[in-house]
Amino acid sequence: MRPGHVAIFLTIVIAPLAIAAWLGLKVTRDEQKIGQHQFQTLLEGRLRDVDSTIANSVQQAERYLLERVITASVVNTESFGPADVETLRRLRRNQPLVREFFALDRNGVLVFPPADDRGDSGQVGRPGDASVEESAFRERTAPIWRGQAVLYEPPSPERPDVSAQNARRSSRRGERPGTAHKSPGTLVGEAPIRGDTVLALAATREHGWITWYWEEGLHLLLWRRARAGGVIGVEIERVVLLSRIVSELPESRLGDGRVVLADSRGDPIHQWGPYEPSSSERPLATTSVHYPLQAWRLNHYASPAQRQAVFGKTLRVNLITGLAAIAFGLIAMAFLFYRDYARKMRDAQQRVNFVTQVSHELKTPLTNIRLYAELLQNDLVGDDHESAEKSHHRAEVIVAESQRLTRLINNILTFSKQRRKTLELSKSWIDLDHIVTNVVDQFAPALAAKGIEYSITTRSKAEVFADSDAVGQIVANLVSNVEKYAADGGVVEVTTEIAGQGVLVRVTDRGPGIDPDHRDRIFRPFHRVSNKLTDGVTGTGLGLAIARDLARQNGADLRLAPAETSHSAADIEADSNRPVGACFELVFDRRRETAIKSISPGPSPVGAKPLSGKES
Amino acid sequence: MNTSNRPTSYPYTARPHKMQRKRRSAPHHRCLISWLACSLVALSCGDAAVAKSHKNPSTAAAEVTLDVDLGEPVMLASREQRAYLKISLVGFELPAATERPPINLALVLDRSSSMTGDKIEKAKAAALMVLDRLGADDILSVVAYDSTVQVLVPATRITNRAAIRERIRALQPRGATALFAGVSHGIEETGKFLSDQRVNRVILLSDGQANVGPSSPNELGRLGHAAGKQGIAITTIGLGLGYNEDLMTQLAMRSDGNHGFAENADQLAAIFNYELGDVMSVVAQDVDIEIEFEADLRPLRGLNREIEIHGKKAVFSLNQLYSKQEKYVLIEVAVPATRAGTARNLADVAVEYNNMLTGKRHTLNDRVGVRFSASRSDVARSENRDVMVTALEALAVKRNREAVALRDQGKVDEAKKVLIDNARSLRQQGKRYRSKRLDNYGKDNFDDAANLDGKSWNKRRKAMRKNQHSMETNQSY
Repeated sequence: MRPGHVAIFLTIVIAPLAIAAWLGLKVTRDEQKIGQHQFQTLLEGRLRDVDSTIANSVQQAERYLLERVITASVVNTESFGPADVETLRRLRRNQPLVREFFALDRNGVLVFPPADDRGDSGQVGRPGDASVEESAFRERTAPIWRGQAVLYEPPSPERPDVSAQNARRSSRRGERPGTAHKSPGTLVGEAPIRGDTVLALAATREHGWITWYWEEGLHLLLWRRARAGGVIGVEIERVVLLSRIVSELPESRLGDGRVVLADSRGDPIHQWGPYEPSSSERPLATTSVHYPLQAWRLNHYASPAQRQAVFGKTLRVNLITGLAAIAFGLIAMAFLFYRDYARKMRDAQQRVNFVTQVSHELKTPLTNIRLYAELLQNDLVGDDHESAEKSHHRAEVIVAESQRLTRLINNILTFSKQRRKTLELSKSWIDLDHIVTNVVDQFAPALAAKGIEYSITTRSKAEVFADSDAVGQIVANLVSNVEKYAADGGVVEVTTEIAGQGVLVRVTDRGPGIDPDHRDRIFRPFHRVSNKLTDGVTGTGLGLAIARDLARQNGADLRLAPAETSHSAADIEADSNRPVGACFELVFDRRRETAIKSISPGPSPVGAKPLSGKES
Repeated sequence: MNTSNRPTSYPYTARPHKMQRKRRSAPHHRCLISWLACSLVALSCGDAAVAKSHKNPSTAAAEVTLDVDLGEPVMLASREQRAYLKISLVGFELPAATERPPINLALVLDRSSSMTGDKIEKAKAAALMVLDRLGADDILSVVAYDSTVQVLVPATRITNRAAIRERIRALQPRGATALFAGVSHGIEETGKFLSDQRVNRVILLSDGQANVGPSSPNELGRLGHAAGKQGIAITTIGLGLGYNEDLMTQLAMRSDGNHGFAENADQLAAIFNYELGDVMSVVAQDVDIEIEFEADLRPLRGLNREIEIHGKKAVFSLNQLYSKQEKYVLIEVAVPATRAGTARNLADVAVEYNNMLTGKRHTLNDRVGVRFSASRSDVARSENRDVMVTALEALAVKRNREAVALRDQGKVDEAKKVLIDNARSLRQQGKRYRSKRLDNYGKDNFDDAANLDGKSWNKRRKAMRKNQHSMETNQSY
């Protein structure tokens, strides 16, 4: 392939491919963005489902506590007495969900749990027989009762904002024990209410949550308005609520990816799903949990396989297959174009060669004819016996060359007729031996001039039904080839004989033979073993092609006999250095429906006809 | 008690008996059989298990035995002093193995990657052993946890053993340790069949540090406390040397479950066996004890168990009593100076429990009085050896705990000093009260003191925690 071709090839293939790839990538990237967004939306939807499970758990607990445990009249907050203390303590002992009760009378004084009667000052409420746990509760919730806590109204009934960015900002905020819970941005707009206002809240609402931080993190207090005024409430046992939520959430291997319920420090409270994200991995989707646990977050991680399955892989695979198909198509197209182009180039080259050869072929005999004709003209000026003899010889040459020219022109005509399928044959019963002898005899002067001895052996004694001109042309082409290409052998043997079911005309020489590479191709038109004009051998490359076509049209076949058959074993033994030679066989075969009939036996004209006379 | 309006709908409700008592009607006729079939089960518990049956003469009703004793029934007069009160409960003997109350058990198994190899195989074998020993009336659930949790066998009656066995066998270790979620699901599964007619229990096996979800000893302790309120005991079994013994003992202690320490997996089978022996011999559940002291007395603390004290009243609960095992609580009381020759009442004790044979709530009452004398020999002569031994032991365990706390702060020498002092006084008292038990614990303390450092400390700490737990809760193994 020449550099020019390479450039064309590259342009045809690479340029469209690059454009297709670029467009494909662009589309894929857009699709990916859309897919990612959809995926994220999907995951956020899942998280909202999870969140509603959690919210449900909390609501269930809330309902249970409000309806069954801290009923409005469970204790008498108006005149809180020992019986009420006893009631709450018994309830506390049996309610897993309750860590501690608390009760405020209508003045906002904490009447339960009772204050330690060992009399530490600063305690609000009446002295009593507080247990260690009860005292601890008073201590850790003191800011609430002293009015130092910032309490919030619950958000509007709609979900708090769950937008990923918004909540992410507050997700890893540290917890600050002992300080009031600062709401994340989701509660902006809610007015903080100061202090002793658990009571104030109770004036406007039936019940509510207080979120508070101590020990391990977020704790919840649920309060309700008591019938007798004041407030009754519970501190939720944090781990029990957690445990409850955890057992309501999906189990380990369900779903895909990994969902993590994280507390306000970002530490996992519970997680499920088969995927193990790395510690630095960011969740694909995240939402905050429903009030009152809005400091918690739900994070959804997706495995790379899952991400790809949803929006990455298929598109990429499609793109790659598409590009591969386009590339394949383009290469195939380019290849076909190139092959067509190469064949056309070869044909054109052959035509040019042909014209050159033909011109050359035509020129030589014509030159000779002209030369000898001029000489004959000169000779005929002084007309004597010697010059008459000379004239005769020159006339002979002119005739021979004319015959050659005729053959050449015949071949060209035959070829062009064959090509145009206008060749007409006139078949008749012909004496094969006679025709062969005639044709070869015509070559006598030419062969003699090249120093080739020839012999004709006619043993067929058969008539074949064929076109006599065609058969003559075939034999002439074969002998002409010997004259042109195998003159070095110095011998040509022409034999006719009966062989098997048919008749055979064999032309054998002892020239250089046919190279095995060329054996298949020598019958193709325009094929020449050597195309060089300078090697002294002329020809059009049509002879054998025409000969075989004619043979086949006459129900015969022309073939190149295997090399060994061209010589008898004795010959090879006699001189092993002798050139191999070639042997062409024209076969009329009954099996190929050639009509053959024998001629009645007569005196045999058989005999070698060596022609020893050489032209001087 | 305000119990009638408690619904069954919310999963974390109070103990089952409180809602179901009214529905129970069929009387039980097992009481006679129970005494006929006496002495089938024999569990040796050393000095602690010396059952005192003289107060409950052999009658038709199988009853829990309640004993209330003072260390010094005769106290020195005219000075304020501390008295040790022991309230002891001994479960009656179960009639026969087939008559035992049905069990509602959740096995919570650690399947984190650290369990790979022998551990998981032995754990599976133990679980299969448990399955084999349970009967068709029992309920079993199996929960496995790694970094996430999976309910392998939801709570179910054991009808298809082959399927359960298959699921246990298929366990493969992987991932981290989501202990909290595991226990939560264990409680959840047990909660599905929660009943005061069954022995409700979770057995937790772990070999690692909880690292997903709440994982502090305090939090897990509180979870245990809440489970105890529901009537679910959580037995924790630590395997190997990688688990958190504080977390595991807290969880067991506060739910009134047992705790086992299997240094290697070979010990698992034995521990599970002991545990099942306990579970199958539960005779009473949901035991509430109330001690009302006289007005001028002041209960100070529980020596071996956390108890709730409000002024002159002390309250505590046990989840269950096992057949022929003694469980007791020791209370330290401040007694004001009193004249010699006075005899007075000290406290009234009321016990309520669910009798697993009759299916009814029984009540026991007892009271304890004290006499004051000016003579020291009088005091010494009347001394109750058993109470004194258990009280001294409980105090020694407290010091043993202090030593662990000191060692945790890196104060090795101080911890060693505490342990050696503890050991010496135990040996002394052992001699005085001729108690092998005190003497042996003295030796243990010497051993503890010798292993405070280096490689052996981790293992020692686990063994110490295990011992503290066993002694304070009177665990049978």
